[in-house]
Amino acid sequence: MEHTDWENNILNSLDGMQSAHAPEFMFTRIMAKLENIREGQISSKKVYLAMACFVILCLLNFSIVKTINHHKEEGMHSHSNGYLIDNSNFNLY
Amino acid sequence: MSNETLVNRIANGDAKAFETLYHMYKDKVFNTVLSYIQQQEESEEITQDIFVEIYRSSNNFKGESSERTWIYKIAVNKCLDHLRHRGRKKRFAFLLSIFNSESGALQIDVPHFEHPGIILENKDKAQILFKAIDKLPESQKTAYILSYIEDLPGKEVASIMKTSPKAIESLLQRAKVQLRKELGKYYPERRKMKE
Repeated sequence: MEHTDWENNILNSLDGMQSAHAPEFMFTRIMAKLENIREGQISSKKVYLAMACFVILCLLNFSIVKTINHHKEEGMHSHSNGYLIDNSNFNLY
Repeated sequence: MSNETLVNRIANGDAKAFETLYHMYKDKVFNTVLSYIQQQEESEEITQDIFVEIYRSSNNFKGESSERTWIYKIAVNKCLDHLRHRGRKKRFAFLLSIFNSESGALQIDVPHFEHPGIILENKDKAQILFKAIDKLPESQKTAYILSYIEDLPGKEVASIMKTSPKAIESLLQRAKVQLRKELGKYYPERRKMKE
């Protein structure tokens, strides 16, 4: 009996409870946090932009090198054909 | 000015609307967080995070529930996330204490909590009750805090917890049974102290 009374007393201890008040200057701190997040987002955007530029530059560089190599290979083909003809001429000697 | 337009204005980047909303809900949010976390500094930090979240996700508010319900949902989710994180830290510290006997005792345990809104004569009893509330499972704890500490109607608690009012009633019944069980553990200690 005494035990149940004690339990009931504990369970009823929230009666008349008032709401806790949020500390002062919390709004300023929230705004500062929001500002930090915004700055972080801007700087991360800059990083992504720089990375995208780098990737585009790499692709551009790769395609330019490939085109140049392709042209060089075509040039070598025409030379080697000529060389073969020269070679056959040499055999005639 | 209706509450919905406040959130819409926040979504449009209106800082004044955010300030108004903050002053409307700061105490309610802080009180809820304090009941879950039972630690002043951590509760302040989480309350700030909740308002940051409100600001950032104001675009997602579709007006399906009331603004208050939406804010409570964010607050409850943040608190539960924090408690889960605290639980993980506690388990990790426990494991460390097994392997490293020098670091020894767990330092993550929450110290005695005194809710600032409790009347003086109930302070000691409420301290025991908050300890027992802390031991409740998540859903029972949420139902108990929102119903008995925040004094929200059953329908709103059901909406926050995405369940039916009947389910909330059953959760509250189970929470009370569980609390009595938990309080039973403190009773012998108290009797010994009296003797």
